[in-house]
Amino acid sequence: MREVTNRSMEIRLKIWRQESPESNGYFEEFLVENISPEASLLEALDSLNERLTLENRRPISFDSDCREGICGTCGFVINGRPHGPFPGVTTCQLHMRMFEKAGLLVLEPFRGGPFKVLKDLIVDRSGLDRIIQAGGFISVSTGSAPEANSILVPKNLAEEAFNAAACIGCGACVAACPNGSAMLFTAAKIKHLNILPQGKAESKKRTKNMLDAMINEGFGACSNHGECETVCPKRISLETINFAFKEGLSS
Amino acid sequence: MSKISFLKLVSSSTGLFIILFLILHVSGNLKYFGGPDSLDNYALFLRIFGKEILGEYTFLNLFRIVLVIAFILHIWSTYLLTRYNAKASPQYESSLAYKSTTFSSKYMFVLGILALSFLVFHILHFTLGIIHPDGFEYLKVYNNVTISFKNTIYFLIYFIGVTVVSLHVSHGIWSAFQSLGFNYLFVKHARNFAKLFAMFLWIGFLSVPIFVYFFK
Ligand code: HEM
Ligand code: FES
Repeated sequence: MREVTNRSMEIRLKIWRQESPESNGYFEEFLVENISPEASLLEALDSLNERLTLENRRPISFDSDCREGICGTCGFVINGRPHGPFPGVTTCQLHMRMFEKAGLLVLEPFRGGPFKVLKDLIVDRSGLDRIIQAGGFISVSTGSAPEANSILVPKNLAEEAFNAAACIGCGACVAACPNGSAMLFTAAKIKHLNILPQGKAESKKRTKNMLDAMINEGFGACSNHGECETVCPKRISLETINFAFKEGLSS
Repeated sequence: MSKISFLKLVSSSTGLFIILFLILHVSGNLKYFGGPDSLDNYALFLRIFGKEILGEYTFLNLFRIVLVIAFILHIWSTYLLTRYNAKASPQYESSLAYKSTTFSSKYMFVLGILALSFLVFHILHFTLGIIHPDGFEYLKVYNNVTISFKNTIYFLIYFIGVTVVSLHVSHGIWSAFQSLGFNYLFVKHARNFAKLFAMFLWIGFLSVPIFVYFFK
């Protein structure tokens, strides 16, 4: 196990400040001192916010909930990378020790497509919810939990569906995409439902409606840069997009 | 079918069709190395192909029409896709560090427009003979190729034009496989293979101009 120490470190944070969606934003720089390398980045922001509150200054607004990488609420761009420079993790899973040599972290909200800054590092990601509303569900009445072996799902399909279902909808794929496309998100939802027996019945309608919703919400069409795959905290791959394109052709 | 599925289907299938044509085209070009008879006969062959059934030029013209339609559809669909992308493109104040975006993937539309300009020039030059250096004679293909590529300006235009097309294809070919949902194992490898393929295309198309300009 990692040795817990009493070390402390300091780091400069350059953070995007914006009062409201309409106001102009700007970068503000802070020096965070005496922070434990074992603290998470969000805890460092918490401690900065306590100080700002005591000084009667406006604290930094940012989203978070579970703080263990499973809910998809957190997320901003850190030094040019959504969720930071380390693959396969969310913003809340970053710890200050990872940045001991960094000196300066530049924090900017996710941008792209319809994502709009609401306040500081918080963006409106409801466009993703409306893609789900367009077809990311199964509308058969399922009754009570069925007997486990009544619908057989081959192991490999179960795993593929599970891998796609790992998408936590954080929006990093949109933020990383030069086209502001939500294709990785949309594809993950399409695949997760379309390959399971329960979801198959509505697969054509679902695929069409969700892809159309993505465009209508103002996300870009994908042009296969592959940037999304490199930032996804759940390591969802371009294979998912490949699947959604294939489904799209017969939808 | 959803809007983007349809546009992707059109852009990818027309793009791949044009690439198939480019492969035919480059193999025809290599006949230059077989000497004047080899190349000129090939040019003649294209013109009289299918003559017994359709008459001279008919097959060639049909092929030309199909190509023009493919280009129009390709430009139309990619223009619409690019418009969605441009509208949604993020405007970061700090710069984003890209990892897998390439020069080609980023500038597909610009490369496409440049490719189109080159294509127009190319048709005005070799096909119609409207723009040409001195000594150009319609249908004397070998001779025309030789005098054109001895000319520095023509050589440079073709060098740049072919480079542009190859760059476009280096992203386009694998992007098309992905957009059409080909087997992902294949697509994954195609992503690397695409660069190699584009390089072969580049070398193939430039072999004649380089040979003429530097060694003849
Ligand atoms: C030399 C002839 C050309 C060839 C062989 C070619 C080939 C291709 C291929 C195979 C694709 C991938 C299709 C996809 O995944 O959507 C593509 C994409 C593209 N092409 Fe072309 N193309 C050519 C000319 C042009 C021209 C004249 C334009 C005009 C503007 C153009 C603009 C584009 C754009 C913008 C894309 C990206 C579409 C996207 O966002 O997915 N291309 N091309
Ligand atoms: S706060 Fe839940 S994933 Fe980061």
